[in-house]
Amino acid sequence: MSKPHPVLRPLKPLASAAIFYYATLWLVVLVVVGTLNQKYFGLHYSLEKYFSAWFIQPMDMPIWLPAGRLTMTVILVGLTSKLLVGSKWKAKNIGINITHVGVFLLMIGSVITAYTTTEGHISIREGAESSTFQNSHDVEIAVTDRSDAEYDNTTTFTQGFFHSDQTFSDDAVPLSFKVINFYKNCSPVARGDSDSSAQLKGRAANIKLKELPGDNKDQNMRGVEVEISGLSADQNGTYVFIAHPEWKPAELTADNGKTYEISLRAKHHQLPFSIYLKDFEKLDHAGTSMARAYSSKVKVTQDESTEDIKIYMNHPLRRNNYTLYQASFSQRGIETTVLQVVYNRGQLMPYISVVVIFIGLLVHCILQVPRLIVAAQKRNQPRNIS
Amino acid sequence: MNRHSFKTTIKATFQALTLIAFLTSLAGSSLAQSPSEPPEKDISAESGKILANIPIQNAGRIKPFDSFARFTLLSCYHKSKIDDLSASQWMAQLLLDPMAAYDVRCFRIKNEDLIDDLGLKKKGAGPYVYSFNELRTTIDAQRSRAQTIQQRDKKHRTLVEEQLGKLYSAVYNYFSISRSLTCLTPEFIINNEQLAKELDLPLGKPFSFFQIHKKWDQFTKAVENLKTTFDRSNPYHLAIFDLVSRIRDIQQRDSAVATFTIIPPDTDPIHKEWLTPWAALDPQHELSTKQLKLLTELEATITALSTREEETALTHKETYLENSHEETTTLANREVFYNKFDAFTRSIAFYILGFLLLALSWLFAGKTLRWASWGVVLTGCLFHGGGLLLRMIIRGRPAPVTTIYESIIFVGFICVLLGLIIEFRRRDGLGLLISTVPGMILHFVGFKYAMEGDTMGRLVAVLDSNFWLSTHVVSITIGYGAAAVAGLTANAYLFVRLFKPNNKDLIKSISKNFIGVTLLALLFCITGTILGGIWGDESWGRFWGWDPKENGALLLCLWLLIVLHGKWGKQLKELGVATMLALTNIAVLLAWFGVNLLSVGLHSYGFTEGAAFYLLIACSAILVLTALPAFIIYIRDATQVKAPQQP
Repeated sequence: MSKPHPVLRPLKPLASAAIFYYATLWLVVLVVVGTLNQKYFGLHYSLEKYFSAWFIQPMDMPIWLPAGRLTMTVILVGLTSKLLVGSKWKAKNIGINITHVGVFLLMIGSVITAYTTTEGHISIREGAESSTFQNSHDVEIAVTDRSDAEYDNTTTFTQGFFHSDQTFSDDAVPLSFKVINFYKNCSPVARGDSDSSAQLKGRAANIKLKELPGDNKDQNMRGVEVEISGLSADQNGTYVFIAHPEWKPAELTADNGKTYEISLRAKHHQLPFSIYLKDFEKLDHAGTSMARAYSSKVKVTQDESTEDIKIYMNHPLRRNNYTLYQASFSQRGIETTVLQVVYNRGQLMPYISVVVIFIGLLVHCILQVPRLIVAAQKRNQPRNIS
Repeated sequence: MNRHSFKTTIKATFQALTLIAFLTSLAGSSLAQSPSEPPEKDISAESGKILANIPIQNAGRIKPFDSFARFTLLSCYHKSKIDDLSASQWMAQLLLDPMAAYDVRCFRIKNEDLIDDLGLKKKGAGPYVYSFNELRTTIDAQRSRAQTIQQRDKKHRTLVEEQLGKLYSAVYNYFSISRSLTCLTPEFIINNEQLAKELDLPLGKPFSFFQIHKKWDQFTKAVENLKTTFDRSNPYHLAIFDLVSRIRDIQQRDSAVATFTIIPPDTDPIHKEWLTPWAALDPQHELSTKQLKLLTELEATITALSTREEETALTHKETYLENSHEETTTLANREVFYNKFDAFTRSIAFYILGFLLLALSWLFAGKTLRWASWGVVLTGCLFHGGGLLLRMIIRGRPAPVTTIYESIIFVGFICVLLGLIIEFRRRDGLGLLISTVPGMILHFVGFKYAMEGDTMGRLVAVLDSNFWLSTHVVSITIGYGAAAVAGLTANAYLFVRLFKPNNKDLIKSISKNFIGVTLLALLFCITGTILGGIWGDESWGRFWGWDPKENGALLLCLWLLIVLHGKWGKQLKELGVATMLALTNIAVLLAWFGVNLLSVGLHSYGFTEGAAFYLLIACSAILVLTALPAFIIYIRDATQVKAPQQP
């Protein structure tokens, strides 16, 4: 192989198998600990702590160890260097090199997914139509003005604003907000007399939020303590909100005399098309209540065009980088379907990479395995391991 | 008679029956206590064999009578036969002659604490097996307790409570089955000539409810006449009354509990619900001509079996099957063949024999013996593959693995196959050792799983995809098998190096072998894992979610990658590679079974009680069998290197 370009030469040490070896050993530790953690703190919490994060603090000690994202970045940098400067493009290495390209594509795909994906769900009753879906993890503060008879006007502030002591506002509403605490899982508890204050308004006067670790069934309840100003004088103060259907929005009056409904809710997203549920069907295995199949017959409308589609297990609807899957249902009252919605621009990468990796490993196996599955001893000698 | 008037007549007749029963109870008649006893039966010893391939619907699938009998017997006896009594014959007796069957000891209670708890008598030193008649009063007294236990979450049950719940269900299920065919078995007898003549039924010869059902008009007329003129001293009246009482008793008791769904619908027998004979004869059900024909032939078969007329029974059964649905009959026939063929018992027998021959070949350095062993193991492997193929045909799936049970059998098959290939190249017995050991162990584990009941149960909706079952699942299970073989070869390497440190050629050849198998394992594990991700992407919306099953598969892939890169990057020497690789089997077990124990995420199926304990034992054994020889070799090598430096 010709020598690498001088610009790429500094990458040479990064291409070493040693980096991969130690980084992967560390990843094994993370995978084992992160998996065991799921039993106690749920899948989502463990995922955020061990795999999506850059660093991890074991047992909240003041030590920062590399978490999944950093470890995988190290592996990706090593692999990229290997491809750029470290690979020997000889016939006997062809399989390994193809495999490395495949893994590189897979990892690039996961980077795209990590930074572009949005997951949520949409519930539609039979005979109803919807084009918004709710995020499964992120929340937002929604400020709704219902004064217009024709439509409601909602302004939202997403989770990205929820940094302690950062004030945020929007021209559409005369209010400003400052999140004091944001909890990824919490429960409301009674506030003792000792920490009551005139600054605490609405339900915050009697209730405070207690932070909880991740729920082992992923039933996390997000909550905020937020300072709101711009309200009529006696209403300015600290409020608590929980993103839960039974936590009713607060009705508050602003300086300008308008009334707003304020709540914390799952982040809403707009789909570029709308879905009308014509029929939901659940089939059981005969003589049992075990489901054999679920399906939703829907009409999809985008711009002027409509299309009739059946969404069922292993057959999602794919459109504009969105994928909608049959996820759940309710048959109490009017049948309701629940579709999982995923927006992912890196979706195609695994499909390409699996083919490349398979070809690479297959070529390597064809070249190497027959040479490795060798006889115990050279022919014409007694053969017995005993 | 049209349907409407038929239904009305049945209803009216039962009203009349109730009225008579009421009148007699008012009159204080002693007759009510002494309706004629059911006639004694003497069923054919061939009943089980003859009924074996009749299709029935149970737990969401069509299966033959034979399989249903086996799974029911497993649930109460924990074995699929009682000494020389086959499951089919046991079930045939239960259905055709329940009174005699109730004395057959078929409820095995393993836990002595449960026996003490229930206050049952212990006979001998165990195992403790009881008949239905010995248990019925005790179990009936536990009804409310058992129901409370069953409502409680599994986590909050003690072992005794858990087993009581299971025993209660088994006993109740047994009883329900036993009452399922009483509308077709000869339960009634008429000794009054006038009544027999009037109903056109045989005098003094037993007949079934179905026979009366067919003569319902005449029967109703006779009962109606009696309503106003009942005379206790009239033998004809008494005969009618006797018959009415027995019909009412049996009908009320049995039609409610019957569970044996054997009568198919006219169309789509695979997906539509089947009926018990009692439900088919229910006034609410509109009996089709096809169903009537099936009931007629089934009754004729049963009647012939009850009088030991095997030839007649066989003829009627054949007519029954001809009139049933061809597709379900074919399914049932195939499964009966599978049950009889018993491929996996045969294959394990060959593996054991192969292992013994291998041991002898080592003792006597016999090349012929080794080749004989290879041939025997190959024969076992053919049976093994044949069994898997039969299951694929019966289930109508292009994939050999759809459940955790099948994954065990299939991984065993892969291990044997790879071992045979290695042996063909090596020719020193190592390949045979690697074939037979996992072949035997995984067969035993498979048998243990099969003890839990039906191994061809229905799949949950998300798994029901032939494409993904035959790509992802097959690929990942081949990966497990290959990784297991790589691990065992590495283990063998450690022991060979421990005991024959000077045979460098031999040691080198084994180390080449395990790297070769590791490459194969990696090919299938990585492809299988990514395909699994794509399946996840297709079915529930994300390629990778870090859920336990995914992490288990990833762990195995990463482990194999570490071993290979450690070797290529020279972080690991040959001993290190072998040691790490020998530990691969722990990763295999954790990925395969361990993650199911966590019961987290979308993949958590196939959980088995007590598996955690066996898993711990297996992992510890692998750890000891790896760490011990590796440590000794390491110390020995270290001291040998240092030795020349010593004065």
